[in-house]
Amino acid sequence: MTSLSVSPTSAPSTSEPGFNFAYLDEQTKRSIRRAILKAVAIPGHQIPFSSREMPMSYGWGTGGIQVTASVIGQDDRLKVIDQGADDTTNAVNIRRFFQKVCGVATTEHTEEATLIQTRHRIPETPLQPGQVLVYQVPMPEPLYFIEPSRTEANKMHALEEYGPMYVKLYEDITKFGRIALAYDYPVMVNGRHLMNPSPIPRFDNPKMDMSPALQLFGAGREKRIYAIPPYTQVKSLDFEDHPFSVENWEHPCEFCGATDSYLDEVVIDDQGGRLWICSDTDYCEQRQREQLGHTQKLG
Amino acid sequence: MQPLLTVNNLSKYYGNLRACDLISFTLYPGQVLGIIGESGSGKSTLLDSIAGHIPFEDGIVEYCSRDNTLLDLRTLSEPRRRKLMKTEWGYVRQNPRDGLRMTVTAGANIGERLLDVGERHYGHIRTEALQWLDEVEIPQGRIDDFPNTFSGGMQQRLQLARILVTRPRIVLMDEPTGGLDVSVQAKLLDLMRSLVRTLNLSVILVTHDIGVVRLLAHRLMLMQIGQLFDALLTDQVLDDPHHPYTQQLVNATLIP
Amino acid sequence: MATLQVLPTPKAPPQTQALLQADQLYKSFVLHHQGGVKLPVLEGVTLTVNPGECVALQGPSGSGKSTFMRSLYANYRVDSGSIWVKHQGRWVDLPQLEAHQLIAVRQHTLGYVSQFLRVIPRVPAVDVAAEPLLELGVDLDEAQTTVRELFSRLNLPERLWQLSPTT
Repeated sequence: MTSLSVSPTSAPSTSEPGFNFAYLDEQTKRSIRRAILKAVAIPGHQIPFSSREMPMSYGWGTGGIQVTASVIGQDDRLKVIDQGADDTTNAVNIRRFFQKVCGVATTEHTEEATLIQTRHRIPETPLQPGQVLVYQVPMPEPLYFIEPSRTEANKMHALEEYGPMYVKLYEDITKFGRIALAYDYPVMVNGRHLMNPSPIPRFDNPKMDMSPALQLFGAGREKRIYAIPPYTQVKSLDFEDHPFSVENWEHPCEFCGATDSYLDEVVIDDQGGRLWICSDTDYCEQRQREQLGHTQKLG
Repeated sequence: MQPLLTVNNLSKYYGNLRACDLISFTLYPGQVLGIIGESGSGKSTLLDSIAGHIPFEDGIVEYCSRDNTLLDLRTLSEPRRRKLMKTEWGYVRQNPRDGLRMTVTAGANIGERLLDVGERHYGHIRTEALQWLDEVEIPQGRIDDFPNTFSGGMQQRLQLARILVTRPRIVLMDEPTGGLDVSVQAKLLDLMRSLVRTLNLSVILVTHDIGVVRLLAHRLMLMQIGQLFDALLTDQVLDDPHHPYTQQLVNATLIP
Repeated sequence: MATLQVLPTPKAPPQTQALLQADQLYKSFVLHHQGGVKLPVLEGVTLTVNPGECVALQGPSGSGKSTFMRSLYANYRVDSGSIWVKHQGRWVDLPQLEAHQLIAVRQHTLGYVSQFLRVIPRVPAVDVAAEPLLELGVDLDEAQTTVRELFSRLNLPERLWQLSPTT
């Protein structure tokens, strides 16, 4: 799992001329920050914002990118991951984009980053106070499939009438014997607002609860921003007799032996052979390095 | 006895048209009040006004809640009104498809109001749902079936179960037997009779069918062109009609 | 200057040991759709019924017996007069009562047996007879036992008990 072209940590560079810092104009950044402040003031509540045309299409992280662009500063150190990996095409492109328009330092190490933009995963390494995690969100509305009317859904949020969401969970248990949601698992934030945590696996939901980091969520196509301030209660929905549970695997990570991280299943041959490896590339690599150093010490 | 609901001079206008004109009546616990009128009489408008579905211009509607507070329904805040309609009140729609969630199972339909008021134990919901299916004479084995696999009469009974699960005190019904064929109607009416008695329900029942009213209603109100008259006991109104319109209605009925 | 309002004199309840006292009942029917013809049926009828009494009303057909009976039950509304009934120890005047009070009187004090038994079809006789007891909150088993006892006393054949009275 070695990066090919970009080193794990890059020093700040000069941004390309012709771009405003972080691409967006200052007025837009200011208005997005205002939305972020409102979002932080009402944890889990969706705030509409004027999403701008970005140099990538909807569905490619424009919401997350706009949030990052509004809060990023010259002294930040940025990490970008896509499904846990720093080296996939999207992660590399977004990281390069910010290097181009900000000249900001970047890193692949979670503990060295001040700002982390992620698509569909939370890093395994626990976050620290002062870190900011920006999630890319396709569909911000947790009631989207349950209540087709936007007006009615807004009313439900306003009046805390979330019965129909529990009806869906009841139906799952009736049909499958358990709540079968694997991702987009709805949570109750600060005991008041129902929130869609983005398509992170339900394995990651507990990481959001009482996190020391600031968590920001941006949906570009749907034009919504929401936030979880540090040390906020985040509880996954469940029933008293069907409590929330996370996935587990029979195998440890093939590379680093971890049994406590989210594993991706990889098919390795035409006979259907497969192995399981950590989805979080940085976590896996650091563990491997530690073990190597340990063996070297012993050896 | 304290009245459950007091309606005083309720008036609803559409411009110059008086859909409801100075309607007044009281409803006591355990009473079934029938409202009969032809289409255009304003009976459905009256029901919708009382339920808070449409605003009305004049008059007072006062409800005595379960904890003995007197609520003015016109000035009640929307969150409280919505909560009330899910707990202490119920509204049975003529077409059960309008009152059910067709995309979820029968059990989920019954369980929804419980989930709305904070029930979070799957097993409890299941038990309540099975019990209520029994009460409304739907086979318990159908708890996981979808309402579109039910017959019309069954759907209507499911709607009843869905509403009664939070033990409401007042149930508003708008032509609950409309569109059902006669034998199905009969079964539904028999069920409603016994539920009214066992649950001590108060019901305001809007219909154009005198047979329904004879069977279910203790009291009868007649409406014509927005006006209310003859609000007395059912047998008084139907056996000794005073008002010309009432006499006309009674004489026109095929079955006395 | 304000007009002087004449308040109706409150009627005084009887001072007797009677259970039912009908005073000066007047009732006529107006048929609006038959030319507005007015049919006077009761003209100043008075009756006292004491505890334990059985009173028979006799007269040619059309003389108003049925009308009088129905008026006593408040099924028909009288134009004027009082119908005093001793209900739970107090005298009440039926025409003055509100609907829910009248229902209570019928549940606890006044019963009515008609030649034309208008019943609910499809329901077994036992359940029809038990209903008034159930309305008063009596337990289902107890109510049905009471009914069966009464049916036996009235010599109603047992095989008919589960059938609807319309048969």
